[in-house]
Amino acid sequence: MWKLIRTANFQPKLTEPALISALQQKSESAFRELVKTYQDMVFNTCLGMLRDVEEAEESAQDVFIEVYKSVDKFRGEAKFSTWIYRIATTKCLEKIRKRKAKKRFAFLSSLSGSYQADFDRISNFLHPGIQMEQNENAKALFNAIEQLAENQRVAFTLHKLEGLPYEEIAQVLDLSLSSVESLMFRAKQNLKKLLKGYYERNMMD
Amino acid sequence: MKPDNIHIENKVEKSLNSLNGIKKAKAPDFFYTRLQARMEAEMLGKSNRFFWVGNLKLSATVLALVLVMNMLSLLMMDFSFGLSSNDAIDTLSGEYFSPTDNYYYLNNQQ
Repeated sequence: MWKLIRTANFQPKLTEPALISALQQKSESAFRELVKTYQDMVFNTCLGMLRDVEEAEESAQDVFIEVYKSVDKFRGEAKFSTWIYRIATTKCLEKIRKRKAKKRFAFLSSLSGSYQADFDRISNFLHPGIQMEQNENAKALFNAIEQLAENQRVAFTLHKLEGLPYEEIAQVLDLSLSSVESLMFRAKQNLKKLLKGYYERNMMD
Repeated sequence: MKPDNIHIENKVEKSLNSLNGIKKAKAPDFFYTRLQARMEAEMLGKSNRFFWVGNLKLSATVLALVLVMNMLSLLMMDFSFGLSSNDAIDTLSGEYFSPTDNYYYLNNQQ
């Protein structure tokens, strides 16, 4: 399955169709070019969704492995980056589901202390791209985002952290534009409620 | 003391806007090297553990061997426990259909 072919004639900085074609021929230099081009985009998306550097790196690796395995199935109906975003969000959601399953067995994990360490790391996570004066506000926002429904969470993260327009989010999530608009509206309403509750609790102390 | 609503509304708005102008995180150094190492490790693990699954002749031979061994063990069991069919039925009915406080069938076997 894994078979990267070293091709001497592959020139870096190929056009997107040429890169995809070279990837389909399992060219190693094309794969390196792919990773170099998209690694920051994929890592930033995963970090925004998972809020954990180690898990984000692992998921980003999963994304590139999946791209390598499934590039033959890419039909060019969407942009290549959109297709990669779709894989990235799917992989992150898988990770989040596993994390939730782990949470159900938190009692057992808490005996070893590993669960508490994971929980602390995630709830105190600070995205490296946030301005220092916004750290506390952003921490509260990230904790609220974690409580959103999956689709709302993905749409909000892609829009706010990756700066994707609603049209592209619609393609990533395979939804209509109006559905994404509705998702974003509900995400903002829910975040407002969650943040209000959080500040009411914390400012009374 | 209950905090006033305007103050809370301000905090909520500030939080919602805290991601405006956020810079994108960069992938860690040596990301490609680690990815390559993981892929090579997976390739190696996969080829070592399940290499025989892909080999049709070898898989068929292993399957045939398991079947022959099963047949042999069944035949050997038949020779060693040479009970007549009536004895077998009696034993079975004694084990499964006797009242819970009736242990006679155990004595009968000995």
